[in-house]
Amino acid sequence: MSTALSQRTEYSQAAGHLISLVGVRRTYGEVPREVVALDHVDFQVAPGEMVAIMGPSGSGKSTLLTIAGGLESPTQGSVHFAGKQLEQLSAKDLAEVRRRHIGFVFQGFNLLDGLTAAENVAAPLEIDGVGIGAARDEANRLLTSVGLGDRGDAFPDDLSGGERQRVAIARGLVGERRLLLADEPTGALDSQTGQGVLDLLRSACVGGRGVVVVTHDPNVAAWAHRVVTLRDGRVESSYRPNPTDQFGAAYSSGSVGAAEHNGGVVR
Amino acid sequence: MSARTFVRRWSWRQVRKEWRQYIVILAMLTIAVAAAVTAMLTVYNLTGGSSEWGNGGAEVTTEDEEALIRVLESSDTAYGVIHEVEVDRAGVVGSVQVRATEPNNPITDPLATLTDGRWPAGDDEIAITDGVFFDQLKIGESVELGGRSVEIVGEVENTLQLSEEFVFALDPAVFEVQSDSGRRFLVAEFNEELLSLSNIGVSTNDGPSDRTVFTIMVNVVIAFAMLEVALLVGAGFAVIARRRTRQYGLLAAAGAPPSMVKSAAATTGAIIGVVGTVTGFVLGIAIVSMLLPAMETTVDQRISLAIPPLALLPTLLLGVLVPTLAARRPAKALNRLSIAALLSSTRPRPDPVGRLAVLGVVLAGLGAVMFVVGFNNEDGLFAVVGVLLGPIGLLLLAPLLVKGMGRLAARFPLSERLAGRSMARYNRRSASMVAALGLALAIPMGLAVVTTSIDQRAKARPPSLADDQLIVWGEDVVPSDFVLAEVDPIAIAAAGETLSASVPELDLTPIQVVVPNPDDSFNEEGRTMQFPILGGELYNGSNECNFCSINTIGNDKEEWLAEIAWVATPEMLDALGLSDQWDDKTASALVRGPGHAAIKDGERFQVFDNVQVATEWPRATAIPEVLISPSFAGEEQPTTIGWLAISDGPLSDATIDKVRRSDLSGVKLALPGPPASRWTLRALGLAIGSLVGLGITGSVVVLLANELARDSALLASLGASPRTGRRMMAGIAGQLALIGGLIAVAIGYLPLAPMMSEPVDQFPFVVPWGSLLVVLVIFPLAAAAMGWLLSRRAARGLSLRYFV
Repeated sequence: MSTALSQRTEYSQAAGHLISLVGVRRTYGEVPREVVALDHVDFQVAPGEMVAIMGPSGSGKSTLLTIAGGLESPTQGSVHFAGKQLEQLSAKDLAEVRRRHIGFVFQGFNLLDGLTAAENVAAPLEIDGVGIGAARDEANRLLTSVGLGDRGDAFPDDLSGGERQRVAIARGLVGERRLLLADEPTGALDSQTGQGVLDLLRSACVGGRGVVVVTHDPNVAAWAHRVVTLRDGRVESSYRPNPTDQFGAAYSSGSVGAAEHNGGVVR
Repeated sequence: MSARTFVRRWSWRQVRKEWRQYIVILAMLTIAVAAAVTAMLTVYNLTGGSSEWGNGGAEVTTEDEEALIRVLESSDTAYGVIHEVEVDRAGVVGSVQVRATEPNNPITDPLATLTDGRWPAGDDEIAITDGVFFDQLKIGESVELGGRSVEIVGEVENTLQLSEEFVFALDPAVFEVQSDSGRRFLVAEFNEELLSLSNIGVSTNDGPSDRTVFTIMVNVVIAFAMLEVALLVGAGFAVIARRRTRQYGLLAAAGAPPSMVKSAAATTGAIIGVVGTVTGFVLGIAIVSMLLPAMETTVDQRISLAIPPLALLPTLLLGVLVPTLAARRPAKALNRLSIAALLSSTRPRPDPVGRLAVLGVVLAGLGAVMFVVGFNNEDGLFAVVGVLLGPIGLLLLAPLLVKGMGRLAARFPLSERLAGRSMARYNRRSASMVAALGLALAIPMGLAVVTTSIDQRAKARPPSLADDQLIVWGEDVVPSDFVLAEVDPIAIAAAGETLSASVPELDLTPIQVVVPNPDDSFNEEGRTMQFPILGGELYNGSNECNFCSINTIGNDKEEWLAEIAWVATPEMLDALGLSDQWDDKTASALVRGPGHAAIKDGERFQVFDNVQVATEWPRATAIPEVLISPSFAGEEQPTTIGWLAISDGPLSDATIDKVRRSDLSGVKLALPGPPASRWTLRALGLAIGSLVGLGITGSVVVLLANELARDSALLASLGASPRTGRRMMAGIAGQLALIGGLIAVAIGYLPLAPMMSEPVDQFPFVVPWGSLLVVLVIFPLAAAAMGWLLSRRAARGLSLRYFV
């Protein structure tokens, strides 16, 4: 593996949180037609934790995800990732954070049509300056790990929905990223394929990677260590579907993202 | 009916909603229609011709004017009388024309139209054209004219000849007249009753010049321009159809049959077409209206702007049809998809490019062959069909080249790879863009290839003259052609005398040619002019070709002499150093060799088989290939068309300067030196072609900006900088330009094929490196730079809408 690729693993986790959103408010449009997508939301994800975000349409789930991933900036509040405040980073540094540390998986797959499956997975590495050969090797390794070892040369148009989503997950994981953000990753998939994708997401947590999944599906949420529900841009509740797992224990002791129901806002 | 209404309403609302996406298409269409309307109206209004007879259809002259008036009155024929006299103006040299017509007469009105003031009401009043008194007098002032003091009460003009200056009066007879042209009777049309008059002379008006040819020519040019627009508009609608895929899916899911989807697309195209055409039409008329004063000055006439509906009809129809069909075509392709596929915005599978490429190769080959054959056999139709087929065939190769570039892109860095793949995936629209770019660059490239070949051939020959020679000859003598026009013997003789006196160091030898049937006529000064035409006149009375035997062009059919043959007078032979070469005093002609080896072919030269070949002939290009003996001229008299001047040594700058300063009117000089390069023509053509190409590239970038924004945002989400998206657009623009350039180069070489097939003195195959550098390197780089610059805004997008 190249030096550039190995360097991306140099990462420190500050304050026990992988990512932390503090008092985040996001509005669209101008007063009086202003739409509040998020209203003073606090949200954290611990290393190795899988968090499911649920809520009805328009509750701000996707907005929360894009702000957490540095795709959008909050109108108010701050986003801390690895001890850095994302809003204070230059566009170049922010791009580097996305490139090296944060992976995205979207409901609509959002693969680049002009690249093969392997090239899609390798794209973040190539963008980061990794040589084409090394990037392809890494991409093929990841594709194999998601069961697509023989589909590397296929273009997205030639892949099924499940295959595309697995390619997207492989792309989200490439380069040993620390945080994977997934927006309705199983929304467009049949239940069996969706199950496979969830397996992948859950297994992605191994090694300290955080995973945030936006979903409408309670079955998907059941796979998470923690479930946060949003309504009208505010956190309505936060709970652990399985309090006996490691995060359940941590939650009880208050050491990791201790949440409590406080006026609809997780603290 | 309700379905159609629904389709129209839906289409209209879509256009209103997506209007920003149509701006580029609309702009291209509007500009094209405006340019076409401007061109057509300008040509139409400038070729209207003029009439000395106002609105009259004939002019009648007779000695019995009273009888003529009686006949005209009784036959109820509209007529006008115009009386022109010359009168003196006190204190001024020269005379002034006084014109009298009946004011507002429908026939003579254009010849004297009131522009200011009023018409004269009595003999002491006149109206004038603005410049007749050198702009010194105005309405209200008086002037002494023809022995009378008259007051200026109005301003008039001859609308059919604005520069004509005259005085308008009610009755010219009241002035002391210097000369009287008499009264002219202009009648609306000639009728047989006029024949009853004795001693009548009638001249009928041929009417305005026939505009049909001009109209057709302009429409052909417009059709070519609209083809260019069609390619771009087609690509634009393909981009929009891609964006609309889901909308069409929704329409189909709601129960709309495929025909309705196509109809919806065509309606959108038609709406754009109507809006663009109407806007372009209005814009074109506005431009022509602004140009009208300049046009009037050019043709020296008032132009009543004519808007010929029939002449404009093809442009207006094309303006609506092109976008309608262009919009329908991608919708037709989308119809092949299932509704589910449409709803998920799946793109249709690209058409296979192989068959199209084969067709392209066949058409290009056929076109080239037809062009060569038609050119060599002087078969215009064959050549024109070949000229059209060749480029069309090469344009059909665009999809294959685009696909090839997509394959090649696998080895490129990420942005450029995405660019190449994106082009290849939307092959049809990319091919349209490439074809538009190729067409824009093909003409300058063709110009570059042809002129470079011409320059190369000229360079391979020696300079036009030896360094001790110069030629003085008639202004319109074309040394390498076989048509001589307007040789003024007096001017030639005078030039010889002047040159002998002013530059005595030059020895002058008359250059004579034989003119089988000189056509005598007179120039403006009344001098006898000769129009010796070597061509059809080469055939003698028995229809035998006198000079054909000297033809050395190797086709099976007889051709005429390719160049002028000078008469080999002893002086000329001496001057050229050929006295020793002409051994056989009975020979008819001396031909420069060895390029004319065919001349030794006895079968070819059965009439004059005693032609000699002189291999030592000086090969200066201004000296003809053939000299003929004085006896060969027979009874025809040689005509002196100029002088060959030779100095003792190489011509000095001082001698050349003296020649130039000599009073040599009516002649021109040919001096030694290499032929002028045509690089300025090439540079100008390439500059214009490149600018048009960059304009097309700009349109393409704007059209693709939305698509780029999605990929750019995706790349940004992966951590790429905005530059990656810009590099991608630069890559698309550059690669499209490069393929367009390759096609332009291929088309550009087509004209060289017949030129290279000439049996004698072929034009050489050339590689115009400079032009190739422009078309294949500089232009693609400039296009990439344009893509980079114009995509700045689009590439910035890191918007939520692309991810949810």
